[in-house]
Amino acid sequence: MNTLTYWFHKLGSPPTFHRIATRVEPWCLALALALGAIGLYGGFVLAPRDYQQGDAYRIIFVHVPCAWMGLFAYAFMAVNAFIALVWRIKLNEVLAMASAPVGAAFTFVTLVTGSLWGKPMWGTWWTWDARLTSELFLLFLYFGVIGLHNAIEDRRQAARAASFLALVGVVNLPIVHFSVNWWNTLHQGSTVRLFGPSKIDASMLWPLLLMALATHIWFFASVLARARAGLIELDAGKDWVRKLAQDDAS
Amino acid sequence: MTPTRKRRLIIVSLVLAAVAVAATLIALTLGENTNYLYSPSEVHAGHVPADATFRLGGVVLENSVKRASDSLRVDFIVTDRFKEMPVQYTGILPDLFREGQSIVATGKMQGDHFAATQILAKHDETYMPPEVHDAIDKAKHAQAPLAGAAPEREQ
Amino acid sequence: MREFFEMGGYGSYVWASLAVFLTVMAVELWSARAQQRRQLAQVRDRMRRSAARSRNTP
Repeated sequence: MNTLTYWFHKLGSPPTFHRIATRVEPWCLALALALGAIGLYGGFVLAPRDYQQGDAYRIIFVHVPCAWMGLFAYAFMAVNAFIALVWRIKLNEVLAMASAPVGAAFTFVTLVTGSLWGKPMWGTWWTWDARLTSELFLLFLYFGVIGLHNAIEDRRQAARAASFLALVGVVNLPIVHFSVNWWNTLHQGSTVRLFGPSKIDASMLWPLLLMALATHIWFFASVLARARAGLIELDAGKDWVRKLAQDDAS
Repeated sequence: MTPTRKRRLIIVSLVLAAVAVAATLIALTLGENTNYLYSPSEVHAGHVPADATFRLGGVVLENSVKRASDSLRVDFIVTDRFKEMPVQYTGILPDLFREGQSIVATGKMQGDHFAATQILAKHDETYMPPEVHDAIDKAKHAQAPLAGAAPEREQ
Repeated sequence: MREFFEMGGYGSYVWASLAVFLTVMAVELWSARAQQRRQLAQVRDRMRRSAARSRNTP
């Protein structure tokens, strides 16, 4: 066995993962809070007004990072679900299920802030265009995964059934992302692009990217916290969990 | 990879591929119906059935907005820079409504004009401070006469 | 300062968005922590009961 697979197996073992996650999580949280505070200050205080939308555009600094995270969390969940279904690795089942509530939270914030942005700018809280509809569908997919996971008694079977739903729902991801290009929508196209120049001034871009970084790190902190809980639940009878429970009580 | 894992990998991949194909087919069939709005050109070409409520999208033509002095009634022309469509609307307009702005009007045709029941403003994906926008505008105006003058100088 | 909070007349929308974001994130983190505490408490509960059973049946 080479070193890489050795570390892979070691990290994949619940007690090791739990120990590392416990140590990493507070740092992730602190870093996310610090970056988020700077990002929000930059976006809500330092960034200039928009030439067209005035100050209302500042909703972008929470709306867009949350929208990215809703998609990112789903992709993360789907990759783990795939590994969980094919290789039946306990850790990946737990990670897939841990990312669903976080992703749902981000998607929910995306929809609500989008609505708060739409009312003053577009003139409506909601409209059934392709982008908004597919984003709402994304939220329902998250609810479906969470619901299915809670509905089945056996925890590992529940995780695999919910993983299957998560994997099937992955077709919605490109629809959400490309809906503004494929169809005529009220929602505008992408502002920040990986390839080619972004259509946002540099003074507004840096707080946005900082917020994106902060929400990514926050996502991992939350997933680690939930994965720890999930591992404890699955390994409830094991010695390492009993020891942990005793240490926690004292 | 063990045979069981290989089998699971193939099954999961096949299911995923089947779902992707199904989704693509649905998206392609929906195609036209999912279009949120029609442009004035499409309306003139008869793509919209008569008496149907639909959304008209385009730019508010410059110097075309006429507001009634005694009511909330507004008359203006929506254009896609090829064809034009007169629009009539009574009600409160969104903050972004202005000449040269993209809008989406919901309503139906009434004779030769479009009677709107709702006006939504569309904004693009560009964000910049007002000063930058002014600077770009100024640069454009400075460029325009030069571009127009260039062919003349060649003669 | 007042001008800052008014956000050019869009204050209610802008600050409501920020409030929703911060609230949902806080609740999300709290629920993750609560889940962990609940699982550990369940494990302890089970340990206590099995310890009590082994005492009662010599």
